[in-house]
Amino acid sequence: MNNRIKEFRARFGLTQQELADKVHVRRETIVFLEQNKYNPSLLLAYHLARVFDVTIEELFSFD
Amino acid sequence: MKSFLIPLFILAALLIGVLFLFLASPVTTLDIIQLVVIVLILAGTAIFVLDRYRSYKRKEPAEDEYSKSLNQRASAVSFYISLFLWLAIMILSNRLQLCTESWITLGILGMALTNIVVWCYFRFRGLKSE
Repeated sequence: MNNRIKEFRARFGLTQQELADKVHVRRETIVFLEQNKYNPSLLLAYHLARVFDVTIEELFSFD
Repeated sequence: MKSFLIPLFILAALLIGVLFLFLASPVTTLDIIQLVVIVLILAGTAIFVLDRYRSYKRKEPAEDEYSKSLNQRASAVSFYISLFLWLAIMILSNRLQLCTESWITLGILGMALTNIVVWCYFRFRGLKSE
């Protein structure tokens, strides 16, 4: 599974820490997500999509 | 309560315990092996404490879904490895002359070390396959 979290984060001008605070996770979780080293739960994917005001499908893609 | 205080207390207690243990009695080869294992466990615990302290400083939650998955995965894998460790100890105990306490100590330290090593491995590698 790939994601565009880094791209959207840059577009919204957020730091990893700010994004982590918005979705109530630790900064490391965002780091691992951006490096595609962790697949988030559906709930976290939903929260991330809501922060960027996109759908989950736009944020995450399956290869 | 500050989330890093309990692991920090455990780390300090372990450190003091080890110091007393090795200052109070004569040191043998087995003691040195145990000391190396304990030092590795302490190093792993220190990484864990540092992790928690950093989260506390950043006002982040002490645990989130990633850290919970990390702990679960590390526990599951280390449990599996520990079964083989005890099997190896069972086989070796018939061939090597060591007292029962030493075998049990080695087994428990081995389990702790396995858990710390596996935790550190997933901590730095990530949980890609989850």
